[in-house]
Parts: sequence; structure tokens; C-alpha cells
Amino acid sequence: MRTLLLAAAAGLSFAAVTPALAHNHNAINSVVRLNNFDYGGSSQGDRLSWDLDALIGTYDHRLLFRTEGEQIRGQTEKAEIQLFYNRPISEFWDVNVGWRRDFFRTNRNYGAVGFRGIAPYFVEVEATAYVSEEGVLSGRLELSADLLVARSIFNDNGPGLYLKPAIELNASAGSDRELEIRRGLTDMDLSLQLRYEFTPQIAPYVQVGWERQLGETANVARASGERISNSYAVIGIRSLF
Amino acid sequence: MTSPLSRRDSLKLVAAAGMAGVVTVYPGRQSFANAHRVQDLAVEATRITVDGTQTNALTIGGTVPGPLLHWREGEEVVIRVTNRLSEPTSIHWHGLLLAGVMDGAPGFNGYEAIQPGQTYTYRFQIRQAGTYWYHSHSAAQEQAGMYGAIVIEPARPEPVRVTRDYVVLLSDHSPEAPNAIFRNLRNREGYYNRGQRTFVDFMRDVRRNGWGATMADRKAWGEMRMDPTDLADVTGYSFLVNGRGPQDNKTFLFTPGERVRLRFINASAMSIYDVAIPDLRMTVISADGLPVMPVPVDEFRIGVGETYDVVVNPTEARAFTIMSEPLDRSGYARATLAPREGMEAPIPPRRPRTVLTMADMGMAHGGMAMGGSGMAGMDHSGMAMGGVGTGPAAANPHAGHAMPGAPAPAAADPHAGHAMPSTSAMADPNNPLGWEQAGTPAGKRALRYADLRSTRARPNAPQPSRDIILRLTGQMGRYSWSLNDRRFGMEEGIRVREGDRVRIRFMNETMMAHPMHLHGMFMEMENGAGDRLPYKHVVLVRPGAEASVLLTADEVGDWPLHCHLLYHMEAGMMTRFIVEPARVASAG
Amino acid sequence: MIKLPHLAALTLLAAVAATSTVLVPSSALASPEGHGNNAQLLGQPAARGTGRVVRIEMTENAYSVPRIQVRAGETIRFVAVNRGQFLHEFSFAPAAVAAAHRPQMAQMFEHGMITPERVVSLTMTMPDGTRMDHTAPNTVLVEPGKTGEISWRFTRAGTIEIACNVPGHYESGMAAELVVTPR
Repeated sequence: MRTLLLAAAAGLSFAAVTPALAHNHNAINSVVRLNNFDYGGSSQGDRLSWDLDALIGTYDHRLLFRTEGEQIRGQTEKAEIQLFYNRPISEFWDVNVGWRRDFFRTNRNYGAVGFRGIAPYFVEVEATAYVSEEGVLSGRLELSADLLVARSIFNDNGPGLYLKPAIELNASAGSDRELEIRRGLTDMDLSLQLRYEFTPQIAPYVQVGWERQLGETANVARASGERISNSYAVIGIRSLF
Repeated sequence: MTSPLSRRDSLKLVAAAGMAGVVTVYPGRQSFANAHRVQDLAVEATRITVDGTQTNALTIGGTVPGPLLHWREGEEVVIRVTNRLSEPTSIHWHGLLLAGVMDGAPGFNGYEAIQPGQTYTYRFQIRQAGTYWYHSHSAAQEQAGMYGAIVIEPARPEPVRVTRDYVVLLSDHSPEAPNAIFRNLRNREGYYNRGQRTFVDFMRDVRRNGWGATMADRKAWGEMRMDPTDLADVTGYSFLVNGRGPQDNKTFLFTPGERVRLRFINASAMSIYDVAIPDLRMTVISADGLPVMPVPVDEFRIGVGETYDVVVNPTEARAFTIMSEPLDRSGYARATLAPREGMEAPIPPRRPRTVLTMADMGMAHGGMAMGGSGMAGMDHSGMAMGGVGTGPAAANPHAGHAMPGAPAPAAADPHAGHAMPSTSAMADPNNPLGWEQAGTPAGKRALRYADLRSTRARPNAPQPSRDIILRLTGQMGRYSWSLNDRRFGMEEGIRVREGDRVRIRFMNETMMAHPMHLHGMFMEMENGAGDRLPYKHVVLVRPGAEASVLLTADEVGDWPLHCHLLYHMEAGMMTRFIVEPARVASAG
Repeated sequence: MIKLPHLAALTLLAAVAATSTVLVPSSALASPEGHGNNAQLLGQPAARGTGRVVRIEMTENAYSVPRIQVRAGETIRFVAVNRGQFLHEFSFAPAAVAAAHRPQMAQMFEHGMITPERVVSLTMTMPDGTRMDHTAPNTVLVEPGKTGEISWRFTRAGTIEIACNVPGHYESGMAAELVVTPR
């Protein structure tokens, strides 16, 4: 893992050497995106979730930091950070190589390899494979699309109303008892977001969703008396810094 | 153009400057005291007021635009530029023929940026006449206000007699700092594109064109992951005429019956305009500074960096609106021609934004089925495709007919449709489709590139010895713009020998138009004008199309060749056009 | 020099008539000269090569004099020398008549009857049967380096315009005043 990070850092410092010209076409760029930050009710109680990522680098070499999490009734259900070296491989696709760490149910480290990009019809795709320090292989697929429903009726260049369906699917090639995960599909999250984007910086939304554990993982959870699905309705904000 | 500084002189200059690294070294020339003009210009940060709102700006000489530099062909000028910013700066003389080290592009021709507190002395002989401009060539400065007009009186009598002569300098000014804009562009695709097609548009298209055609259209764009409404990368601009907003209403005075020359300069960062003066016909008399055979038109499209001189002859004692609408129609620049200050003419109805077609994607022939959005204009777009690109001339058998002076009724003009489709014959002004469609009102005539014919014929110009292919490439999602898929700094540049005659073929593989600008030399645009190819320093290459130029590499140096959309240049859409001396210049 | 048939036929009269209605008595509308009738032109053609010589040089895009003054009763032999590099016209007519004529010149240009430097043909029959004609006696098209002339007997006083109606030239300022003073 450390090697990976070092490699990423080396890539960055290499790219930062630019000719002494007055054009910063290769200058370091950075952005922080708050993709989700919302609060609301769910069938299991009040729910808070977040999804934030940050990118820094040049066109060709970037570091990507991402954190996601969810609390239900004040109790953390999911909390993780990921750190990737990110590099474009084609016009629409980037490759990610890096590390993930879970802070819930147990502290677990993973090596990660994946790609993200835009598929035809503007479907945003992120697919990552993980190997945990326990040697368990798992995978995650996230798909979403941003559909522009309407512009402000007052101004062709005004705020926009977007509808964003999204799905996240997790699977595991092995079992991890500490994480209460069994082989097969483990869980999914389906959601539909309606967002009013005043500007890319200020974009409040309402979102409904349904998360559910799947397969053997769900069976185990059900057997131990846990609820395996949760539907929610939340309000939140998306932003960009 | 008429009395060029000798090549030997230029060579000496380059050599001297290169060796000394100090550009004020100017061996064998008169002292500054003998120069006809000495001009001091300070570059500083200040605040400007547009339509009553204050914003930050960088200025040359304290104003936006900078002072009008009025020179005479043949004279030698000296300009001392003092940098009062806290960052390096530069001034480039756009369109001027001069020694490379005087060109003012940092990192090229041995020219280095002017450091804070330093003064740089430019000194060159004026070898041409016409309308040009100057601007910073350092990142994120020009668009903050560092631009101004240059008018050069010809040594010989003008081919035009006018009583009034005005500069109409168009620019786009954003309250956002240029670096913030660039960051936004890189961080989110379509950050500023607020014209994307909506679900509401989808339903409208279904109603108009049927479910099948609409789905096919959305499918085609979806498969390419592209957005047909992406006409301009940046919005939020105020559009200015000589630094004044639409409310400020810059007014140019005339007395009825007078001939008025308007020198249009597009000094914008990102905006291409359609310019019209309702009820007043314009006669285009020069393009990019050099005279062309006069072309009467009702409107013209002007790319970033281009200049057009027009003559108008208002005979009524009334006001006329000079209306310049950017392609994405996100606003307009407005000025008024009037017999008195304070008069106003109506603002013409705002034109609708065009929607790109598959033809704009370079899918002209194979893409018909895909692009079958089957709207009213679709029958015509086959013709539009036939004429894609401004060249090569051979591909456009009708271009030669499209001579100046086509009268208004376009329907009576069998050739108009073929050469360039911005004539009214094929456009539905209310539902424009395709980049070319300017929404020209019925019966009005827009300037076409094919109309431009130089007044200077070159009947015996040699054939080009080779073609240089320059593909205009980019990745919209990453805001990465490049030439032949290489961003500036990662490319090798183009090398030619002094005296070589070459053809440059700009092949636009992107869905945006790119105004390609070459420093140091004029390009002869292959527009079908035979031995009268117009001389241009900027060629606007349409989306998905090809344009070609001929060039005799008679100016030794290391010249920038770039897209003049400033954020494209900043993103890497630039290369070096290196003209190597035919023989090694003697240092003496 | 370009040979001009004398007193030639009607030149797309409709357009001329349309614009000149306001200025011209209706009786004038039926007049056959494409560049205006004799009343508008303050006289009539005279025998070729006769009259007092008035010399005008033409360049891009101007006449050598801003104003020519003659007297009613005089016959004038206008000698127009093209010292420029493009085709130029020497013609005289009321400003409105010339303005109405310019779209026709633009059409001639568009159809290749004239090029920037040369006259290819002064008449042409269009596919739809309309005839284009540039052979009126009060106008002469002069190629670069050549000389054209018009002899005209002025019979009435007035002020009309000398203009080059090659597309864009008038707009660029290629015009002068022709003043006929009373005898």
C-alpha cells in the first residue's frame, strides 16, 4: 500500500515540473466536491449521509480522496475513506489505484483498483475492486445519470432542475465475519434525487432511496434479528469548492 | 504589407536579442529619439465599471480597453511597457509583422515575460496598414481587460473615403477571476453550459418530430457523450463595446449622408459574435487588417481575434443599434450609431441559440441517419454539409461564384446555399440547427468566408510543397484541448524552412469552433477565391469541419500557433510554428 | 476600352422605377434608359468623340475630383481613365436612380458578367428569360489601365451624382457630384 502511495506522489511531482512559460496548461488544479450531504427520515429512524471527494493534480496525474458514510439514529452504519492515484486512460475513462479504509464495523484496510468515467448516454460509472488485508476480494459498482428536467422558466440561462437516478451494488468473493459479509452480492442502494441547481456551488435536493442487504449477507443479518432493508427520504445539498 | 522590413533585419534582431537576452539591444539602428512615436504604457490592476457595476480588471494604460494606438505605415514605433502587477506580464501585437522578439509571446522567439517592476521597450517598424489590436499573452491576463486597438494609417491613399472612422472593439468581461473560471471549467464539464436540452425540450421535439426521430437524435448524442447545445464554454459574461456595457450604450456619432468606417475587433476571451446593424447595410472592406474586395452584407460572424472593417452610409437622421450577439445568445454587446448623443434605436429581437447537428460533429455523410432530428432545417443541412469547412477550395466547386455583392433575395441566388450556409435561404431563423445557422432574418445576407477576396492578387503563387495536418482535438470532459492530441509543452512543434510554401490543414475533430491564430505571418485562407485568397491571422474553423490555409514562411522565428479561445489556449491548444533560416544568419 | 452600343435597351426597368417613384414624375417611368431617363440625366447623348473634354481618373475607390461643374447647353466629353487595379464605372444619374441600379450590378457580378477586373459580357439572358444589360449611354465600365468615354449634351440645370456601382465601390466612397449650372 505504501508503495502505491509513493508511486502516486512521484507521478505528481514529475508532472508538476512545467516549462517556464506563461501558460499554466499543466498547472496543478484542485477541487472539492460535496456530492451528497443530507439528513432525513428512514424506516429505521433518522438518517444522515455524506459523500465528499477531492481531486488534486494535473491533467495526467491526480490524487483522489473520497469519503462516504451513513448514520442511522446516530449510529454509524458506514464510514470509509479512499485515496487513489488517478490517471486518465481515454477520453471518458480514468483509472484509480489506491487504498480504502473502513472505520465501521471494524477498521479494515483494502488495496483498490478501479475505473471511473462516463459511459454512453451520459451514465456515470465507478467500478472498483478491493482486496482487504484479510485477503477477501470484493467489488463495488456505482451508476448514476444526471437528467436535466427543466431550466428556469424566467431565464434560459437560469437555474436547472435535475433528476438523478443512482444505483450502488456491492459484492464479495469471500466472507468476512467481522464485517458480517458473506460471499455473493452483499448490498445495494437505489435512489432518486431531484435537485435544484441555483449554481454548481448551491444545489439543494430532495432524495428518496431504498437500501437493502442481499444474498447470504442478508440471510445472516435477518437471522441475527437485524432489519435488512431501509427506505429513506432526505433533504440535502450538493456543492463544489 | 507593402514595405516589409527586410528579412536580414529581422534575422539580425532575432540573433541579437537571442544572444544578449536583453531586448533593448538594437544594433545598427537609430536612437530612440529618432523614432516617430514613443508610447509609455503601464500595466496595472484596477477596478472598472460596466453598466454601473464595479469589477476587478487588469489594464494597459489604466483603461479597458487600453488606449487606441494610432500609427502610420512605415514609421518606427517605440513602446515602453512597465509592469505594475505582482506577476509577470507581456504585450503581444496581434496581427503585426515584426521581429519575433518584439512579438511579445513569452517563451517564444527569445522573448521573456516582463517581470514586476520592470520596463520592457518594444521597438519595431510598421510594415502594414489596417486594424489590429494588442493584448497580454500571459495566462489569465488578457481576459481581465488587457487589450486595446491598433489603427495603422496606410502610406498610400486608402481605398475608401470616409468622414468618420471608429473602432468597435468587442469583448467579454466576467466578474469572476480568470483563474477561477479556468478552474471551474476543469472541474466540471459543462459548468457554464446552461443551455443543455431539457426534458421539456425533449417533449417539444417529440411533438414536432415524432418519437422516433427525437429518440434517434438523443441516442446519437448520447452515444457520443456530447451535448449539442455546447456553443460556448463560459457564460456569465458582460459583452462590451469599447469597454462599455449594453446599458452604457457606447454611441458613435454621424451626420446623415456621411460614410462611416467601423473597425470591428473581437478582443473577447471566448465569445464569437453575430454582428448586425438592423436597417443599415454594411460593406466589408477589410478582414484581419488587410483590404478585401468590398462585400455588401447585412451581418457577419466574427471569431475571437478577427477584425473586420466595414463602411456604412446612414442617410436618415435616426439611431441604429449595432448589435453583437454571442453564439450562445447569453447576452449581447450593444452600441448605437446616432446623429446625437442620447439617441437610441430598438434592440432587435434576441436570436435563438442554435442546436448543433451531426454535421457539426464531422459526421456529415455517415451521420445523416443518426442525426435524423428531422426538423424543418434538416432538408437543408445536406447542403450545409456539402460546404463544410472553408476549404480546400477544390472541394467546393461553387465557392468561386460566391462573389461580393450578392443581393438580398437569397432565393434568387442559386449559389449562395452551397458556399456557406449562413444565408437566409436555408435557415429557419426561429429554429436554427447547426453551427452555421446565425438566425439571419429572411432576405438578409450574412458574410461568408467565401466572399473574402484579397485586393492583392497572387497570380503566380507557387504550389505548396507539402501539407501540414493540424487536427484540432480535445476532451471536453477534462477540459483538455490540444493539437494532434498533444497539449502544448508535450508537442514537438511544426518546423518549416524559410521560404517554404506550405498548406496547413486544420481538421476540427471537436464540436466547438476554434479561431486558429498564427503569430508573425499572414495565412492565405483557401476559400475558393482563386488567386485572391484573403490574408488572415485568425481562421475560424467550424465544428467537425476542415479549413486550410497556404503560407509562405518568410518570417524566421518561433511563432505561436494557437486557438484564440483563451481557455482553450490555456488548456494546451497551442504549438510552435518554427521557421528556420534558409542559411545561418551571420551575427554581424 | 470597352465598346458600348449606343442607346441600348431597357435594363431591368422595374427595379429602377420602383425606387424612383417618389422622386420622378410618373411620366418618366416609361422611359427606356436603364440608368435613368434623359430628363433625370439633364440632357441627352451626343455624338461620340464630341464636346469639351473633362478628364477623370479612377482609382481604388475614388474619382480624382469630388465635383464636376458644367453649364447647361454644353456638350461634354467625359474621359474616364482607370488608374487603379480593378474595374471601375463612370456613370452619372440622380442618386436614387444609381442606388436602384446597384443591386443589378451586384447580380451581374454574381453571374460573372463582370469580375473584379474585367468585363466579360455586357448582356446576358438569364435562364428564366430575363435579360441583364449594362449598355446604357450614361455609363461606361473601364478596365484597369484603360480609358472610357461618354459624350453628353446637357440641356437643363441640376445636380446629380457620378458613381461607380461596381459592388462595394460606391459604398467605399467612389462618388462625385455633377453640377449643371443654368446657361
